[in-house]
Amino acid sequence: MKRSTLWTGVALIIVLVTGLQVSVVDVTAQDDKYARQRECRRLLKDALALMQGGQYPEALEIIDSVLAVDPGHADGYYYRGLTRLHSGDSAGARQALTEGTKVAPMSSRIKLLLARLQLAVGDAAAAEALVDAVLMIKPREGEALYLRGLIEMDRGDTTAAVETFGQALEYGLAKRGN
Amino acid sequence: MTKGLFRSKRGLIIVGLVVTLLAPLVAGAFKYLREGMAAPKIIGTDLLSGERVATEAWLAENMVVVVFWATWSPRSLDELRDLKKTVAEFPDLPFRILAVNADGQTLSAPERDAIVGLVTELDLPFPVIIDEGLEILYQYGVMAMPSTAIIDSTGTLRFGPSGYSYATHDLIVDSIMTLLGLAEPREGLVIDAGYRPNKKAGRYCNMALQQFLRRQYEQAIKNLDMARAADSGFAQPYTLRGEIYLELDSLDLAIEAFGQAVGLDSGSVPARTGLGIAFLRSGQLGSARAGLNGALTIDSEYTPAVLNLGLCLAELGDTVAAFELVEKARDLNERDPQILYVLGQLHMNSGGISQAALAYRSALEIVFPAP
Repeated sequence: MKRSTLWTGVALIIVLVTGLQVSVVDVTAQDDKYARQRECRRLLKDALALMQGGQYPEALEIIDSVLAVDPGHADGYYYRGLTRLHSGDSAGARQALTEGTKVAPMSSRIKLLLARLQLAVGDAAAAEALVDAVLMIKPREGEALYLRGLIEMDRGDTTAAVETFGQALEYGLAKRGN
Repeated sequence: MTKGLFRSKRGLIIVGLVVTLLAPLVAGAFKYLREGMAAPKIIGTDLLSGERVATEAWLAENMVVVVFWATWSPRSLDELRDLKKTVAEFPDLPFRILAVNADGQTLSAPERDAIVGLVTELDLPFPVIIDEGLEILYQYGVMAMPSTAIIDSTGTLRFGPSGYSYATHDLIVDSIMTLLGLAEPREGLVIDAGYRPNKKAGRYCNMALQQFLRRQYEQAIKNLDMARAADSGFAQPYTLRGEIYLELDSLDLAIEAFGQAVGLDSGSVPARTGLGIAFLRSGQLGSARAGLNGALTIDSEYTPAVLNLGLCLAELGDTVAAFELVEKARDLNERDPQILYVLGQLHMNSGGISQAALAYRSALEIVFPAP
């Protein structure tokens, strides 16, 4: 065999083996990522059950552990906000959800829950900004339209509110039927 | 003057929604069950004792009374209290009662606590389970709160009154006594009515119902064809077929199917109501009115019939009667957002913007409850 052919063969083998190792590492890394996501989902499910059972500190502990592992986990912020809300810590809930809107700007449920809390403390302007942000991406989001209708009613614009409520019901009832 | 609900896109959407979504979320007899059919088995966990409850285990030696109830339904609580007295009055009779709470699709911890608190306070001598996700409610097609299913020891539904009053309680007790052979049926009490389909037809129909609830309409229709082939006298496959065609907006086919159901079972309130709704949606108001009135003659509190007759009368310009009926529907089920939506629409069309806003808001509080 010619030497050049031999060296070409060796080089090819090295490239192949390296490539294989890289793809194995990629697959392994991906597997780890999916496993972590699954584990986070499982933990949050446990946290939700604890929250529904009124065990708020225990639920928060689990949620904190999820966010320590995955600081970008949108559901983590949502459930942190929800659990604090149910435990009576409305300010803490708003703080968690506000943080969540920055970390997970595409999460409409974080925005909508925060909007409800903003409405509850009388900050209609902040609520409206959140609702409008959701409607810009999801114009048929029934809950967002409902909250918009509430804002319009608070403002005294009953005619607009009725129109908005009507739309919210059309979309909300249709989704509910599904 | 009432704006024509069907001459506007919004009006058509309303009616479509009312028809397609007024399915199992309360009011009327059992939409998918007729006397003579096998009642779906129920399994659950007793709220207070934590013990497993299964109606199938009771049937060997007892007849079973299933009560669907909710904390927000005052008549439900009346029925539970009266049944408590009935159990005390007849402690040795072979019947068992199961109370199925259907407060909502999802329940928060405080809501569950409230149910437990109420059940503890009522001190009932029979188990109470929570219908998680309202699955049992959908299986039975419960149309009113409360609704009662009286099931004999073969697992067959024998009597299913909807709503509750003292008269209903008497009927329930009388039916239990009659079915146990301890009394002759009193005048007006028909508890042995109902076509009993053969088992094969019943099974196909039940499979079709599951598929219908999952919106698998094509498969459902195939199974309904099999049910019809197995038992040509069984009306329920036609009724369910009609429901599917309503969902698909195939109104002529819906009219045909419901018509066939009524032809086989003239006492079927769901079939008569479905026929009325199909006529209503196709703009045949006179036929709709006649059909819905026919249903209400048999069961004056079947909410889909009450509500749709209200819509029909609104369309015919009789706003006063329309409001009366829709308000009646709301009294029968104050937690049905579709009824509140229709009420809002009636107010809108009558110029009552504030009342419309209130009705819509009430509906939306149910559709989008605070998390």
